[in-house]
Amino acid sequence: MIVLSPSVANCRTFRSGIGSGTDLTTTVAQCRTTVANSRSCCLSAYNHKNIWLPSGKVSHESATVGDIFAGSRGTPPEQQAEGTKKPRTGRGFAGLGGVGGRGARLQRYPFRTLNATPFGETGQPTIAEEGPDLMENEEIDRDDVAADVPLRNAMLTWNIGGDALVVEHPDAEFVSASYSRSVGACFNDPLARGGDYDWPRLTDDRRLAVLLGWAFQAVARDGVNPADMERALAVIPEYRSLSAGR
Amino acid sequence: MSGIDRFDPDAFIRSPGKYAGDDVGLPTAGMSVEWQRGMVRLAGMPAPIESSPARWKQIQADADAFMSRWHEQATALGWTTGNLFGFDPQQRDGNVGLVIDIRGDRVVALTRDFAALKTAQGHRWHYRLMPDDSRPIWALRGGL
Repeated sequence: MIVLSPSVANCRTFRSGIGSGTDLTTTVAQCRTTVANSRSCCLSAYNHKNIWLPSGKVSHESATVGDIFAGSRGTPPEQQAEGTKKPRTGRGFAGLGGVGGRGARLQRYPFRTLNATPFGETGQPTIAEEGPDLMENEEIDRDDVAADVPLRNAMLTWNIGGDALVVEHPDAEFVSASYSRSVGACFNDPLARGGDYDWPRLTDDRRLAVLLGWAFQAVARDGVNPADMERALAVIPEYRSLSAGR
Repeated sequence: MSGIDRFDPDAFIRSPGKYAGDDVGLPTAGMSVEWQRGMVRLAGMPAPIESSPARWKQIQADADAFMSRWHEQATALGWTTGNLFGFDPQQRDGNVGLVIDIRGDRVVALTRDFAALKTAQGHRWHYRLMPDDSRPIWALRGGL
């Protein structure tokens, strides 16, 4: 069984292999080479409609993130009996101004922040530097999402009309990869500095104020479910203390 | 930034020679032919049924502003048409391209992985690179 890892699944070579029907084993091998030799091979590749695995074709609609990363068997959409497909959720078209539904956010492949860009090094380790463990046999543990996240490292992510998630930045396990908006500790990224918030230098009170301000905007402006936002923020101990009046 | 300071679809239609560079009068000033044609198409599209007229106008304005300022950087950094303009009406979870997600905010920085934006009130947020597997918004059926 071949286990797809973010470093492989997000690779352009892998992606082109998906499209052209290239044998997956060959494609993965090419990806490994690319990952080892290049710092610029990875981009977001999650949410592909059809992913080919040795066990068959996996649809992103039918596979969970566990299925995909464990290389297990999704049922091709065309083989699914009518009525057994997961119903689409939502109340409108989020991207065009409606309020969207809450999808299964973790179904998609995460993506990796590049180590090097035309503007310089990000300071993050490359995939190769992080070792081969990231290339294989890696699974995302959903329980990790619910672990406490220190305010200093908290990154609030959400989607328009969707839900929200607070994760530790950098998001080494890519659990937030399918969320398009982020604030908070992601301002630590060297490429993002020079903005309004020098996150490491802020006091905890100010950090909390920034996050809460954006939480409000995400709910009021972007249609994030308030209960989801509350749940997301609750992983921050400082937020829980504030809520408890301590 | 070379070439077009501010892309004007009306001017393009009136006098394509201004943007001349090939036999169809499309520019050689850094913006791809696909993006040029898409911008022209987007500018002339009526609001799809899924969108309010105001929201559609916002998308058109955001596209104009973004492409006027950032198209060369976006090209150099590898942002694709789907990354910028992708929109799949079948996906109702807000997963859309950067331009669709700007919503009147202002892009202040662009990297390979994310764009930094500011709201009208000056609050900063990041748009993170999304998949490019959706068709561009100007390809919506019934748009023209």
